[in-house]
Amino acid sequence: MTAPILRVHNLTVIYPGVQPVKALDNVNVEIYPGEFVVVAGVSGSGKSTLLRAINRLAENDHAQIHGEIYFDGVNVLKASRRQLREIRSRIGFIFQEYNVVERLPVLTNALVGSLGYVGLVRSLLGRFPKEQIERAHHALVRVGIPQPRHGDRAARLSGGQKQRVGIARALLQKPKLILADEPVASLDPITANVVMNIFKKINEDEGITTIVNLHDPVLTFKYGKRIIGLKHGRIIYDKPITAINRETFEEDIYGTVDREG
Amino acid sequence: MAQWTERARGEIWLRRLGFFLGLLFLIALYGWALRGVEFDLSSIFKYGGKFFELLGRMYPPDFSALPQLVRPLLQTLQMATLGTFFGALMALPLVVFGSQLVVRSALIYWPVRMIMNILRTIPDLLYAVLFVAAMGFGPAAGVGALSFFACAIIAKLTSESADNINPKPIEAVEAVGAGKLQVIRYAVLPQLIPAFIDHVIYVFELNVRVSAVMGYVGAGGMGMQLTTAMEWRNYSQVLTIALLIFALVIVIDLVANRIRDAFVQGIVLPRPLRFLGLSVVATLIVWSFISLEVDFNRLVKGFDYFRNLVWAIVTDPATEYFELAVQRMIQSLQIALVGTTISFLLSVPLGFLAARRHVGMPVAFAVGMKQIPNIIRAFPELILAIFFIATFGPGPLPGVLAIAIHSIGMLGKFNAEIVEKIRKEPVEALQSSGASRLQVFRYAVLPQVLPEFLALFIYRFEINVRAASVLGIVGAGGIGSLINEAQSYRAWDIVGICLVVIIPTVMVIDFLSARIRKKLIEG
Ligand SMILES: Nc1ncnc2c1ncn2[C@@H]1O[C@H](COP(=O)(O)OP(=O)(O)OP(=O)(O)O)[C@@H](O)[C@H]1O
Ligand SMILES: [Mg+2]
Repeated sequence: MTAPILRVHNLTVIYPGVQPVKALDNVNVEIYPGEFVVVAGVSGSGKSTLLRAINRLAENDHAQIHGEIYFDGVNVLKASRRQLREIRSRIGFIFQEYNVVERLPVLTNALVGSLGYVGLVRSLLGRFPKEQIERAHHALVRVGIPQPRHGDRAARLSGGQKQRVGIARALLQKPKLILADEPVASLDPITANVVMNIFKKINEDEGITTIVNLHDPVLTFKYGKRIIGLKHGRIIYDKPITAINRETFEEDIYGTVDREG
Repeated sequence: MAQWTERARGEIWLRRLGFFLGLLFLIALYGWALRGVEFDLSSIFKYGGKFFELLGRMYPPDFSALPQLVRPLLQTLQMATLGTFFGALMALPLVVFGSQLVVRSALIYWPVRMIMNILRTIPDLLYAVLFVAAMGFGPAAGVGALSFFACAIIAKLTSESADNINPKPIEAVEAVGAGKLQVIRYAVLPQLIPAFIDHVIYVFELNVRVSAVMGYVGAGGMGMQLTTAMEWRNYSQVLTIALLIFALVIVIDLVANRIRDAFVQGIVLPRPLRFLGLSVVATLIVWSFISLEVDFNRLVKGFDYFRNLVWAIVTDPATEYFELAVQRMIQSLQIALVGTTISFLLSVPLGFLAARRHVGMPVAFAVGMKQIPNIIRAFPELILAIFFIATFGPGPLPGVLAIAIHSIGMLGKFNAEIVEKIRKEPVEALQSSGASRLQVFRYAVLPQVLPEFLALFIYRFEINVRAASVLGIVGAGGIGSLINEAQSYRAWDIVGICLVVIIPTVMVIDFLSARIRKKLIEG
């Protein structure tokens, strides 16, 4: 078998405070190139923390991250600021709240994903190379935003459309790994399926490794090719879809007795 | 069970005691403040008639003087324009280096924030006095004063916007591996620039008001005309000037509000229109610059003078006047307290009458009532103070009345907005249980509006403390009167000691007010 693209070893994440929260407790997991993994678990189980620890966004919340995370053979937690930026530019991150810059045009929002490939001066002046602009149009059309809308302000888009812009932004990064934190939790069921299908297609067509957090069991079962269950910050379940028992799966991951949130 | 009732009874007694003590404290506080401002209803009634007599003597306004007034009117506008322009330029570095988003080291942003706070404590007219002292009479001093005044407010408001900016897009741009500058360019600035422009336009509105009256202390514009007309007791011209200022303020407010609304709603103008707007603003600035003939030599000399002034305060303060300054400052606080309270008592009913919902007033009536605060707001405190001084003679009482009347503008407007914002669920819950109108008011309306009313009261008090510190410059009591005397003897060390008293006092009050308001609103 090939080497894992992502290896998480003894990962423990603590949010300090008057009452420190241990959001992840000694998590170990290996993800291989081309996999489509769904991380499932109830609210508060640590799904977001896991993804945000991988590219160290969790540090914005002053989280203490212990353990080792290897992405493409490099230890993320030991990386310098510069190295970290380089690592981040190869990991596309998609947020539940889309996190688009509402005041900027749709196209520019997508182009933000190419910042890693554009020189500093050019990027500050907002003069993106023609090639990147082409790619941005292309990516936007691909996720279902037609060209006439690329000049609109992002504020004018619907939630589902904003999330597509978020995906286009990630695609512009030419990512090796996509991390999506509850990307469809704010969308209606139909739009949610459309967006999940975009992830599925990207994974199948380009072989980009994808990890998606979902709290919805139906979507989890429908799209996951491997399902990891989190509970109280620990991995309690990790199976390929072929080995999953449809009957007991919900019970196994979410439990029925002490469900929280 | 018995234990429980016992405890409940104890608590009720404690509550009653607290209420009683609070009441005593309020009575003592207001007794003290009313005495301090020489408040005396009988003299208000006795001499109040004189106020209308004065107004009578002003009527009809003398429009034959209009041609002479055009130039000062334009000058007022030009001073406000340049003041806002320079203020915005000066505010930029303060905002940038005072922001945690940009600067990592607390060693840089704390001192910058400190400077911002100090600049904010100095009231508008005091800036005018200082600049007239440094640069001599004329519009140049006005531009200087307005620049600092504008800079302080723009910097403060924009920094607050920067602190409250949505962090989510910032994370998204960070997540693609962008560097600090790129994050600022693509996630911070797009959010901050509209807020900045909004604040600049708002400050332009304020500057027009200040600019219109600042001439009273010699800083150019319409105010200078007002001084002369008052001195010559040319009352019909006084009225003309007051009406012109009023019209200018109303027009500027209307235009500015339109533009600000467009910005808030994020309306995107087509390119040619945007270009047109920009060129209008640029023309306005250049035109102001050319016709005000700002003398840069004097500006440089003025800064020299400022340095000397600050140096004098630091090395040789007039400490013997410290006690007097503190006493007068206390009087300013009393003026602000009584003035704000009277205004509050008048504007609470106005707020209910002008509210379009929940009170059952006919819409047309409410809309009409809503115009009252707008009209009142357009009369600067200073002009009211001058009128009241002409009525009652110099002293703290005219200051109280000027503040009381002028504040109705803002308090009435916001009170109405608070009433309109009431959630109707609790009201309906009570109505459906058969409560009377008064009961609905007591148990569903009052609990919702009271904390917000009080927060607004405290906020207005904070603003009025600044006003009360300078109204004395035209003769309306408080520490301003000391500044006025010192200024006429060119005793700058005494002005210095006044600054030393005003700045920390205002800072402490700002701080406490922010704290209490936060408590009140968040519960
Ligand atoms: N910024 C933070 N500061 C302190 N504690 C936090 C913070 N973020 C998360 N936590 C805590 O860490 C634990 C895991 O949270 P996390 O957000 O990772 O869960 P989640 O599975 O993503 O939940 P959800 O489905 O609600 O998004 C929770 O107990 C949460 O309260
Ligand atoms: Mg989450």
